[in-house]
Amino acid sequence: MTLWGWMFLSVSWAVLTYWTVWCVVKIWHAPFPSDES
Amino acid sequence: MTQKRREAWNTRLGLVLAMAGNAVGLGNYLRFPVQAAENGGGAFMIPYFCALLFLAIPLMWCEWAMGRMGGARGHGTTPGIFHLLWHHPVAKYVGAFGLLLPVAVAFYYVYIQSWTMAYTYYALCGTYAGITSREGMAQFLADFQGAQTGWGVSGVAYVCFVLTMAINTWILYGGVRKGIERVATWGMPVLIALSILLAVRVLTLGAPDPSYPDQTVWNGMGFLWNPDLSRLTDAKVWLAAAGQIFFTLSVGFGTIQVYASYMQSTDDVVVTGLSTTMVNEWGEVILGSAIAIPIAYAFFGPQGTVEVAQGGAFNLGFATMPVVLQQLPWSVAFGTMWFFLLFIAGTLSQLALMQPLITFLEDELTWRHSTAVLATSALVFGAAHVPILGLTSGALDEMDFWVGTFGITLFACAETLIFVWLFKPENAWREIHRGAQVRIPRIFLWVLKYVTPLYLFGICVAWSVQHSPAVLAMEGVAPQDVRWRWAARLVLVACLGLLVFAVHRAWKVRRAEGDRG
Repeated sequence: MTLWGWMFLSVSWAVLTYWTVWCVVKIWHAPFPSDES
Repeated sequence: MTQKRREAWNTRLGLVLAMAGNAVGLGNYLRFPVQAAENGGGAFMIPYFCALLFLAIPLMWCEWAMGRMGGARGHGTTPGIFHLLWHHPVAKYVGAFGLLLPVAVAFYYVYIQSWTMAYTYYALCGTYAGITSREGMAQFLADFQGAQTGWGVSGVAYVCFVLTMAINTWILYGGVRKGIERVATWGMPVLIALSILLAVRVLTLGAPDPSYPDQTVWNGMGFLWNPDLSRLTDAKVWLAAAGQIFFTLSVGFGTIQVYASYMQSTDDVVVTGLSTTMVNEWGEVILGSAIAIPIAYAFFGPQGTVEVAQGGAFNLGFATMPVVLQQLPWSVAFGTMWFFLLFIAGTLSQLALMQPLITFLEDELTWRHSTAVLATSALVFGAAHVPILGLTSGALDEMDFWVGTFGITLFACAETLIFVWLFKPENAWREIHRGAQVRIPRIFLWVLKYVTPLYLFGICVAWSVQHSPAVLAMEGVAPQDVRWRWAARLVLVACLGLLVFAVHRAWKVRRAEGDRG
């Protein structure tokens, strides 16, 4: 794999992992009315 | 008319997993790597992320907000939702397409789902063990399908189809909470775990054949990720990326609104919607890219991988993967894992495709849940015979073009226009933010108003110009296949007629009850 290939792979994977974790953390900490009903 | 009490999701996690299950399908593992490899490798990710940001995420928020709004007023499907957003007699009939698209995809998707079930069993029992060439596995698939037999389908394939239909009906019979949510709550974690296990196994393979030290999985990753930046000037690459985003996130089908309609009216749609998008994208870009193409490269080399990619998604999943997985230690376990994860992904997507019609029959025609499930299953079961029996004549491809390519882009155009422009941009923006945990940057209102509709319109026109004349005129179709192509079109038109009639009937009954009230 070329250096550019590594760069595209790393950036894509890092961005997606960051936002996925961000979403999971947000969901974990927030109330959800249906959970309480 | 008194509004019936509707079901609701039990937990937010259940909703996210069910919605992610709707989005994660066979396309994540089979279609995405093929598309990326054929359209510029790493460079494909630039138009792909543009489409994600400016097309899919805004559209996803719209569909979630529409669904939640409709559900709070007793309308979980697009005929009722469009009628709420746009007080015009035509609105509900435009919404009927939001019933046609998912159920029509279900007509053929169920058959593919049944293959994954059969192949899970075959992998577990070692039925195809010893077939070591892609041509051999392609023949195995053809024999399994039995298209050349007098009936046009083999007995085994038909039994698997019936069994798959029975499983889907049984799950849907349990309802949203006890059926779909329960299956998604265990199915999605299993799916992700199996994908991670397979990806780790593939990425630690190195060069499996010592006589070809360059054929490593990481060079296979290079096949997917090394960017060919010159391809960015090719409009087809941008269209392919937009198309992939569309298919993978299941936007424009009318299914997201249905699941979102079972939320409470103040549940957050911004973060919840974004979460399902990210789970799907993580599964597609990271896990989807790390399994099929790299392992194919390691065993078949660069030329073989080009042939695999050109052979399409089914070829990759059902002919190439069984061959390469057989060459690993623990081949039975990895083969079974591969097909079982495809089966879970296919099942969760198929449930989402069948649910809109069930919801419509319950909400608008006030049918009992059991009757609605049985009627929907009977329709899918009957209509599925056209793509099954006309498989080699292209009946499945014909349906897939009109529904899965042309239909969803046109419908997405319509729903964006109705939600953002006819419902008014500020109302749409307020509806999206009701109960939201975070504020969306206001630039996305501008994106929703202009960029997303124009992007969609551009795709719609480009696809129409590129493909529609050839498909309409049946260019290159063998004379003996024409009748099956027409049968597929007839089924779609008949189904649309039936749904338009059902919508008309529902509103007539509603009006009569309103007059009496």
